[in-house]
Amino acid sequence: MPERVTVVPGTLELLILRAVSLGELHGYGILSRIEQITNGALQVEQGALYPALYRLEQREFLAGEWRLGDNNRRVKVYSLTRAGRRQLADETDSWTAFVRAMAAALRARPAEG
Amino acid sequence: MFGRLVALARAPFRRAALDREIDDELALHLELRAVDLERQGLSHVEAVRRARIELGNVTSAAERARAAWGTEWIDRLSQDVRYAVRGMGRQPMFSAVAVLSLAFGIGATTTVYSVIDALDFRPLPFHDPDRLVWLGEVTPRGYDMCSRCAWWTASPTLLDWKAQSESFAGVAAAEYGEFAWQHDDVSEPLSAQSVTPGFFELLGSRTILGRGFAASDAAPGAEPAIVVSYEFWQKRLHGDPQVVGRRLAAPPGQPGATIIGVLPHAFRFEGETPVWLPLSLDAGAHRTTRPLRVIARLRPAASVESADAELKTISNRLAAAFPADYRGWGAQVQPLRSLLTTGTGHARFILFAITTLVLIIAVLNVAGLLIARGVAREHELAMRSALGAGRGRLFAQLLVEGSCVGLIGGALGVSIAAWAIRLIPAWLAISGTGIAVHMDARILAFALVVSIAAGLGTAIAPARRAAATNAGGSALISGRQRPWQAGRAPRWLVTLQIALALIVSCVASLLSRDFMEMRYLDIGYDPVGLYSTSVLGDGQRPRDPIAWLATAEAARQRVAATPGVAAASLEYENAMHPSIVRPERGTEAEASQTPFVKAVDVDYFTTFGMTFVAGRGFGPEDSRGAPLVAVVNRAAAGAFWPHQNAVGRQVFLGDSGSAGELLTVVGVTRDVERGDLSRRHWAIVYRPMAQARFYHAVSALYVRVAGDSPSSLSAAERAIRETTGRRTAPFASDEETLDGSVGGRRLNAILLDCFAAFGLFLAALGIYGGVGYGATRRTRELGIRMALGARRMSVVGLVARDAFIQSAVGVALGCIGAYWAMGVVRASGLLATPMPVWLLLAAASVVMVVASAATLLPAVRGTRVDIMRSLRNE
Repeated sequence: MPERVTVVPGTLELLILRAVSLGELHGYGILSRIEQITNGALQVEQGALYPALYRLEQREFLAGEWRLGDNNRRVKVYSLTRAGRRQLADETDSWTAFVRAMAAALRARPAEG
Repeated sequence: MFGRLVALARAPFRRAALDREIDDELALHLELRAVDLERQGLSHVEAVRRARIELGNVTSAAERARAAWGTEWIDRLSQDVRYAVRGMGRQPMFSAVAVLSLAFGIGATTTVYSVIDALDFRPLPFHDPDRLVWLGEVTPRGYDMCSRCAWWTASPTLLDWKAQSESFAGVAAAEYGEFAWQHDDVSEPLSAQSVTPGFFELLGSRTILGRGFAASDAAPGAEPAIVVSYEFWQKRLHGDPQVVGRRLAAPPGQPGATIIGVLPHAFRFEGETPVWLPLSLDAGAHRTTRPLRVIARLRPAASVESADAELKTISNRLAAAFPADYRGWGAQVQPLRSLLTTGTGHARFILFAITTLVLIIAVLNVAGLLIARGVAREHELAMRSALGAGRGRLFAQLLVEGSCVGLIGGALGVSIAAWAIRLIPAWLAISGTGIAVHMDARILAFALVVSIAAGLGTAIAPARRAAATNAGGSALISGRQRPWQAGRAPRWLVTLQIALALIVSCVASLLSRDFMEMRYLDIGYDPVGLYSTSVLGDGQRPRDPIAWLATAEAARQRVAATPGVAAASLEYENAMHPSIVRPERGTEAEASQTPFVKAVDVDYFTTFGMTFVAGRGFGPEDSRGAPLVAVVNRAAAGAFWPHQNAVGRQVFLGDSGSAGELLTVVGVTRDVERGDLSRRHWAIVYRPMAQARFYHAVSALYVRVAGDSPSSLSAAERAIRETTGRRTAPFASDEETLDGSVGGRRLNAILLDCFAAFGLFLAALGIYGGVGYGATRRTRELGIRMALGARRMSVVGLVARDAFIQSAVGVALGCIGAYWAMGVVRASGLLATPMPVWLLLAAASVVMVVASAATLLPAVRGTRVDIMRSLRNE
């Protein structure tokens, strides 16, 4: 099992968007999906998940819908809206750029000579 | 963004549903997590426990989730409001003072604003009122009634304006008149307005029965037509549905008139008018006789400015054609509103300014109280901050507390205003405008805005202080004080209150003194036992004034012969004629005002009980054909021949274009003040009735009753009715009229003084609280000083010094402001008496004394502390 790290502040929402982009999910499902797609490396603080979900829903990146799940339970299922899809693309790009820049910075060695 | 706004707006209503959804979702989460954990081999109980731990405090999670939904502010707000109300309940004295201060301020401001709103802002009750304008002439510079003022106009002028202008879609005119209604064997004079055909239509009003005037109604020889008001129709004609076509009879010898229409309910044009007559414009009338009020509706292409420019061009053309008639006169177009509100003066603006100042004092005062109370609360606030309340949260909480005080005060203030609004028309002389003042959504909105502003105003300074001191919160929790740096109410708070209180006191006492003087000043005659009524000529304009004079004189003689009547006199007066009154030698510019000319009989001065300063009254020798004589009052004598003997001088009376007359002054009377502010010390020229020329038969009959015998008055009324065939208005007691007309002003005066006293009281309260607060903060320092041997008085001085300086600076600033404000009041023409400088000094001394008392009391009390205990407390 890889070493578990906590989520960098601000990236939780990107992770949620990514998780939901792979298919509609309820809240706990999102948590599991994140663990799954990060191979369990990222640990999401469970209490922080729901506020993040509501924020995303309010900004209309996610659409929440109450459905009847197994055992006739009311389940709130989240799906990505079109704005959410765009947001995910944007954030992915800037995140990738950021990571690349960070990596470059960390790899840099003092110039010789 | 829009969705977010909708969500926020809907949030309060969806709160319960949202809470349930959040709970549901979290419950589902817990359940699913527990199942997972169980699958990993934990026992059911342990799994549920672990799931809970992982999610964290469920309540806190729900809380945070709710915050994300943007509904948290509702919780906080209701929490703050509950907290504020509880806090107010805990300190009832403080709360009562704060709420009542604001309530009076808001109530007074709202009341006065309701008048301003009605007169100046609310749309007039006519169709498309913004396109309605008033066309008037403008008086010459230095004109005695009013220099460069909008004035009425004459028929030929109006006809020229109409023919030569292109700005107006319609033009109509109105003239005050009278209709004698003969019924039940008396003739009752009804006040009327004569209006040109199309007048009602121009305003956008239609008769609800019958029709308005057509051009044929105003044509010469037309069947006399009359339009009645809804109120007249209902009250006097009993709402007769067949009223159209009914005749209103007139006294013998005059044609009656046929009712052709009924106006809609509450139609008003400059007050209530029961009957309306058709007006025909006479192209041959004098251009200098200006009885017409002209209104017009602008064409879509025209603006008030363009119409004004056009009318001025036409006016210049007319002035060139008829130089004698228009010397110095101009013309102008103004919005209709200005016609309706002329005569209401500036009283409402000055009152509004005063009430606003009092409200500001109240706000400053409550702010000071809150700061003083903040001493006790700093610990509480620091504690809350230590427990994790954000600075913004504390700030918001204090603002909410202020708003609560403001809103409760506002609610109370609105009830005060709802009561006061009914009295306002009489106070501010606006009943004549025909504009109604009432409480409605606009006024309530104003009150709401003022309340919130006042509430926030009270809280901002304390909240900022609290937020600032919060930085040292931990120190405060321990109860340690920082006596020298912190803990002073902002100095400007007291200074500003004192300055404002002084301004309010000065202006209020200036006005109220003017009002009060009316009652106590030497009025120049004896009002007790003097009664008056009006004896109006047969019909609107008697063809033969001399013949009417005989009738009136016959009536007077019969009244004078009635038992119980000591004397009876007739007086004729016309406000417009003669238009030129000046000393024989001298220019018109020398006299500051045109005197009124009254024609009186020989007994007049005796009836009034007037005394002569010089010369004599009129006698039988001053008959028709004898040398023309006059009596002037002191004001006229002073204006015409300052510091000279007026007896033997000559007065010129005339209208432009007429030859005029020269009258020799035979006597000077004292000024008579009949309780009419506008004619206070107005110059008057009296002439014998036998020698007078009559332009209108408007007359008053004065009766002096011997002893208290009202029965003689009804006998006198009967005598008049039998002689003239007209019912007279009931006799009015001069004493009561005087009391009544002064009564309103006395009420004004009392009201103003109350405002002033209230403002001063609040300011004193502010100082008291501020000094007391300062002393409390410095208890420890003072204790040490006294322990080290400082004398009590020097310590008192130490505490009081600041407040003294603040008060003194406030009084100094207030003097400057008050001097300026009194100048403004004076310039607005509200005052009848000169501005006294001693008043300013007196007000300043009173304010300073009150401020000193308010300073010393708490200072002395503050130093009366037990030294050792105050030190031990540390």
